[in-house]
Parts: sequence; C-alpha cells; structure tokens
Amino acid sequence: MPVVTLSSPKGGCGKSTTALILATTLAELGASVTLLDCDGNQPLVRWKAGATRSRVKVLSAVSEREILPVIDRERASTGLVVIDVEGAATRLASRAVMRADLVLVPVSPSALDANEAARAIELVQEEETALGRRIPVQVSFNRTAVAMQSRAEVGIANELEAAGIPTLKTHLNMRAAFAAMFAYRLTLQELDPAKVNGVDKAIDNAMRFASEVAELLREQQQQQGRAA
Amino acid sequence: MSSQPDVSWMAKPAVEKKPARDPVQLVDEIAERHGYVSREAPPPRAKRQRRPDDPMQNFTMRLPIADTERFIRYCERERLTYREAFAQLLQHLPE
Repeated sequence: MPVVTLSSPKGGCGKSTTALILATTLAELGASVTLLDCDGNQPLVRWKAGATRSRVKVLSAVSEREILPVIDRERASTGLVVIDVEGAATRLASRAVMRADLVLVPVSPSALDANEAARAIELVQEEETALGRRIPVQVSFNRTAVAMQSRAEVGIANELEAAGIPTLKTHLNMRAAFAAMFAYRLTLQELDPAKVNGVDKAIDNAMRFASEVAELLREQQQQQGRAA
Repeated sequence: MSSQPDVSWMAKPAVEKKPARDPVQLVDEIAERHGYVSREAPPPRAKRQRRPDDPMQNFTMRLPIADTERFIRYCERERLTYREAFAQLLQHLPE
C-alpha cells in the first residue's frame, strides 16, 4: 500500500501539520492510516496521547535502523503510511524517501522554505535515478493566505513551474483550526467550533487537500497495475 | 555433405553481471553527498592495541580520487582506521 513521505530539511515548514491533516482526514473518510513520527520531538506521538478518538495509528520510528523495517511492516498491513520526518538533513529522512510512493515537500510562502525544498527535491531525483524507480514529488503549499496570493507565493509558484516541479493545486491555508489540532490534540472534526474559529472551512480545506493527494495515489496505483 | 559446426556457444556474448549494490548503502551515499548525514551516535569503539611483535612500515600510493573517497567513506561508516580497513580487505585475498 502507498507510502507518502513529508520531506524538507528545513524545520517549521509545515511537515507535521500537513502529515496530521492528511492522515486524519483520510482516516475520517474510512482509510486505514499509519502515521510514522520520525521527528525526535515526537509531535504526532504527543498528539495521539491526547483525547482524540481518531483511528489513525501513530508510531514512533526515530532510528535509522528501524525506519525501513517499520515502513515495510506497516505498508503490508495498512492502507496508507504517512511519514513525518524531522526538519533536518538526516540519513533517516533520506531513507524515508527511499520507500516513498509520493514525496510531499511542504513550503510556506517564504524564500527560505523554497530553497530548502529545492534541496529536498534534488535528493529525491537522485535517489530515483539510483534506485531505478519513479518517486513522484509534489510541492505542497501551506500557511497561505485565504483571500489572495502574496507576492512571495506567486514568485515561488512561478519558479517551481519554470523548473518543472509539480505543485499540488490545493493549498493548506493559514487557519487557526490547523494549529488547534496540536493545541487540543484532536482532529479537525473533534474541535469545538465555540472555541476555535473557522473549523468548517478548515475541514473543507483539508478535505480538498486530502482528496487531491488520494487521487494522485490512486492514479499511480493504476499506472503501476498497468505496468505490472 | 559435412555436418555444420555448433556455434551456439558464440550466439550471444555472455553478460558479466555486476553484483547488485545494497540499495540502502547506495541511498546513504547519495544522502551524504547532499549533506544528509547520520545524527545517531556511532557505536563505541573497542580499544585496540597494536601487537608488539608486528613490525610496521609506511606504504604510499597515488590513487584515483573516487577510489580514495570511497575508501574513506567506508572507513568512516564502519568506524575503522585505514590500517584496519586495509587489513580487512587483505582477508579477501588468497594466501
């Protein structure tokens, strides 16, 4: 079953938030999802220790030695494996890319994030060549403004397009509810709209995002099926 | 009419198969080139003592840079001194 790796050597670009939104939203839709928390700070393991009743299985896999066997075991037993790695250029992050069917590179609208994203994409492309198999990569914008695109966002998007790097159409916008998932340790659906603003819109945003990723994975599975 | 010689043995050149490289090692080397390094502490090294009855001498070589770098990477990964790695390689030679 497919493996989605969130990868960027930069910290704070939205890997854990994107991983949590993707995993919990697809689980809400009925998917069987394992979320591997490979970040030494264990933000997702701490999230799961809260009051959430989400069906997402969260596992800690923070050592280089265990990451590949854990991925292989989980992909054999669940419908989707989502891997969140630490925001640093580590061997563990590179190994998580090695098994990926899709690499998402989160970028907030900042030049710093874009530079590090380019570095992550170069690594994926070289691993792809060395392993002799396609590892699709998509840039995933997050923390973008709801109302209109900033100049920085437009500039980065144009550069990515010129470089031929695919970008997900759906951006995860800057929304209080996304941050609140970690604060209350709940899914978007479990958040109390009386305490958190814009929960409905955040759910809608998350659904569109997760649907786009699910559709990409479905297309890939079909292509692989035809090639086999 | 004479019988035709059997040329089947020269129909297709034998392709020498390269031993497949360990993909994990391959990916780790790519990662290192991109600055993705291990953040895990290496296992503690056992203290080794040189055998007193083992005479030593210097051995200098000019090597292609790629070979040198590969050898150094191997020593770093396996936590070996160059001398230890060289001794390990010698074990693969027939006596």
